[in-house]
Amino acid sequence: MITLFDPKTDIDLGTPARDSDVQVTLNIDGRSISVPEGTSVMRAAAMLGTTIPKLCATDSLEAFGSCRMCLVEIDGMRGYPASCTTPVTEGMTVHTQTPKLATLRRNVMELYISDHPLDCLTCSANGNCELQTVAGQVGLREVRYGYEGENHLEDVKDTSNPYFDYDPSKCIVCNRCVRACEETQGTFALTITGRGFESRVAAAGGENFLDSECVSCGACVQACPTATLMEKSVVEMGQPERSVITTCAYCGVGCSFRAEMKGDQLVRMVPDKNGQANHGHSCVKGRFAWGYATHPDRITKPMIRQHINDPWQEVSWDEAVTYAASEFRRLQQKYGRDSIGGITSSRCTNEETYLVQKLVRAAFGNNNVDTCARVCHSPTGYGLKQTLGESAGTQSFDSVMQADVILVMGANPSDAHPVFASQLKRRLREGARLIVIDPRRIDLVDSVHARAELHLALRPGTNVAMLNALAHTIVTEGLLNQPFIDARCEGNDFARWSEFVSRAENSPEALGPVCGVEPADIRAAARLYATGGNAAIYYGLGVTEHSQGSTAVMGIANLAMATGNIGREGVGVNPLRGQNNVQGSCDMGSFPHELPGYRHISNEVVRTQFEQAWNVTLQPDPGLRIPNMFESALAGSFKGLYCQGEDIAQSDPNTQHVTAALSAMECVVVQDIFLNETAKFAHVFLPGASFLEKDGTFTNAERRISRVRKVMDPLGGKADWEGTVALANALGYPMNYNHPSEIMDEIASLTPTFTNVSYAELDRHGSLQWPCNAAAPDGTPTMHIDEFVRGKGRFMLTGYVPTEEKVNNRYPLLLTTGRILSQYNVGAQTRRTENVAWHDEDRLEIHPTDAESRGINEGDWVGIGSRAGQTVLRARVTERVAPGVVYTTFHFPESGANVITTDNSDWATNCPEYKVTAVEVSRVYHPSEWQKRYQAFSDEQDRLLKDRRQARGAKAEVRR
Amino acid sequence: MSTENLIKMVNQIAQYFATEPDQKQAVLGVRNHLQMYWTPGMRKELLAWQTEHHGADLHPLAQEAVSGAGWEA
Repeated sequence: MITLFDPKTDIDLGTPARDSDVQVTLNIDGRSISVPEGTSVMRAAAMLGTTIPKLCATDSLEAFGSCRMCLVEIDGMRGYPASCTTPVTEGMTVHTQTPKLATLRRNVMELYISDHPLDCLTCSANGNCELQTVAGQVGLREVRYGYEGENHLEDVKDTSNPYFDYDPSKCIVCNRCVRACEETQGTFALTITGRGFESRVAAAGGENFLDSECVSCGACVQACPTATLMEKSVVEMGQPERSVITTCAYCGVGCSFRAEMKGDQLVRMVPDKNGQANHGHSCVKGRFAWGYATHPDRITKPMIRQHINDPWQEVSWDEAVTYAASEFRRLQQKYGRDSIGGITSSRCTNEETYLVQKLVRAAFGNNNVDTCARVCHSPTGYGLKQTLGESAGTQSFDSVMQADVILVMGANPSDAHPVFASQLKRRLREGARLIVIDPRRIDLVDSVHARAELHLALRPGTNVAMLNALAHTIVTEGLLNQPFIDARCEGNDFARWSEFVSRAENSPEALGPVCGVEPADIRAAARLYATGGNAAIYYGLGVTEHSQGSTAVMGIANLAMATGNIGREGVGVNPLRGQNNVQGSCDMGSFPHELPGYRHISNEVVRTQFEQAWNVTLQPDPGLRIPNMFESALAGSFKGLYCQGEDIAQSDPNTQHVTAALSAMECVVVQDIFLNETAKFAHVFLPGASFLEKDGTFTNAERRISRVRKVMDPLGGKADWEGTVALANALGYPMNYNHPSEIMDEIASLTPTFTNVSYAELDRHGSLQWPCNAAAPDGTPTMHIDEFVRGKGRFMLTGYVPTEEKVNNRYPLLLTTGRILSQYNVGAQTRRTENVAWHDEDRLEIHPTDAESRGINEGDWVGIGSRAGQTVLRARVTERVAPGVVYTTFHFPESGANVITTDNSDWATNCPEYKVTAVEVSRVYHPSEWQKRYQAFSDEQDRLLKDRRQARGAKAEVRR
Repeated sequence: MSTENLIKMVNQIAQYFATEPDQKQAVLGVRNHLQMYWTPGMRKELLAWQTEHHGADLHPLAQEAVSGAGWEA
């Protein structure tokens, strides 16, 4: 569904929109209006521009009818109905302002104000308080009851949440926060306790908000009409004076936000109700965890040094890029053209990733460019291209609202994609049925009012076996959608696949024991997926980060094609992208083998177009992938790296291997906002810009291109794209862009799926989902509708090959890794915010049985050893993981989660197998040897940073 | 680059294509994959190793894919 963006609709219409083909015409205060059937009188009035006073109503929540402010008179109806809960009827005549209504409203208001602090002048909501506004609207002049009666004015404020305060003295018990927690977020953490006068908001499961089940999404704060729930930043800084629409820089949901500003200071982030991915909702990271952007750890001056054990030297941008360029050229002269490369970032904009790959291909003259998607969703790119013909998810997020069966595999949306999880849970509450395939009992398995009908807790590393067993059931039980297959898919490939999965070796009875799942449950899941109506698959890194990641992605696409669950709303294959711009960085040609738009570098026609546009000759063969770069560095043939916005030393597997490779390079250039783990091995540091400091675009998991808008100047003097331009020019390859919109114009001119994308079109539409071209000028929310991008869908064979990473007597447990709600990936951003209040260290989750047999108690220090390395974490004993499986997050560098992970990788893409590592766990009392070495090295690097020399106008001393 | 790793990688690729019932197609699958995603340097290194060691540790599909590919140039 394409919805056009209208910035003027940012007013509160009181109750949610209704979708109906039937239009109802009514008369309000003498004016006529037609609205969809089911619309409330309040909303119809608001659409006419008529203001009916309201307190408990807001258009993000269903009407509640408790505040008694929105009363109206309706001809032929007795009494004074609440306009929020009264649906329109044909020919209805409504009066919103009569003397009687005025008296009634004023009387109700009087009661509210008799128990409300009269501190409006010093109140944090002053200037943006609905209670104050409504008091003005109804003309309240006196409170006849006085203020001395029983009241709540002495109630104690709860300031436990790091981002917002709860002041019960200001609460009017409108229930908006409680309903927001239920309807918008789906957590059901808030409730009204007590009755009558005792009624107060309470957060369940704890003494205060921080201790409670509240996930701090902030929906309650946004819904509150008074200062009862208020951002601490507003309390501190006052009301904002302007706002800029931009896009969140955390996960792949890509929420749209209003960055509310005071001068060049960010006061708060408020999710944009016109945001087409998030519809006015957000999570704790996007809404609150932006303090890192101005954290004192930000490095804002370029720095260089000859060796990594030298102190840093601050220099000008010009000196830094000149030095980097001279080093890169020196290395190429000495070791050959292919001895250097670059890494683009999924945290940077499309324009920035495009420029970095352009710099590598055009200025370095090789194809040694890769992106952090290598270590997350590269198998998605490969698997979906092979089967469907395009390396992207098939649906919009909104499509889930048409799904009858939802299969979540190897993903944990409520932690990693929380805003989409809220939408998914809403659909589950409406009756959709859920299958979860995951080794862990993720929150979705038994969340409030939304339970999984089937949870197949498979053994890590057995995804392909599971998918084959599901396919076997579908084929052998006659659950195929044969007309779809015949019309839309390659016949020969289907026949081969069908014969393959039908073999007895692929039956649930044969593979169930391999997966550790009851065959009957696998059969039940297959039947539900194939016959339960619209069925949609959502998957994450639990599918891709395996030695058979690409095979599993193809297995998923096979299931969708076999059951005809693709090519319309409510179905599809949906990769949940980890970072904000994983989709975009892949689209922009960041992989060494393909140019923007997923076109292979060996394609002469395409290559020639780029050669003409870029005025260079391009190499026709693929370059090195990230792990190949490390291998080549250790072999002595790869010597220089330009790394923008990725922390490979923390995020890539087998840390000791990565750091050895970085140490073997002679020129590592890191462009980042902090001195991250990789920068500790760098020779040139270019200060990066946060998403608040630049213009550009991000592309989310639903292929939605959204604008990132600059709200403050780059602290380091240049936006990241400007840094790349400076480096290219220093390398003697001229780049002349005045604004990122010019870069997007170049992308559009060279990429058929982006032809109609421009900043002007993005402003007009709000956002655009590619393909966006002459055939689809408004973008493409759902792909593969009439035919697959590759023409006919191609069933791929998916033989199960067990990973080489096997348990044995020495390493009897399987470690799998993942993310938590409050922290984000390597944690460089979220660790520098108050989000540490929820998660200040990575813990090892271990099942009580495994813990008991090892004498491990909750909170004990445990050593985790694998074939790659050892680290020490504290234990969390929980039944969330199955016996034989342990789990940890990787947000803190000192945890060394990736010291343990091995360099096993996906056969097709080299995406690391983060999700399966054989380990042993034992109780210990000291940090691991690696952790001691890490601490010493890190302390030394901090010292070298602290002792950095200032340029003071003098020429840099670092010269070879 | 470490030959051991190249061998591990090519064997993994061969194991994927081993499911393909048509042997010719399987060999072609492995070869195409190496051409599409490996650098010429990696391919040459593997070929050199195979020539010297007669493919001792290589999956049969990988051996065949590498030998007939014409990567010598």
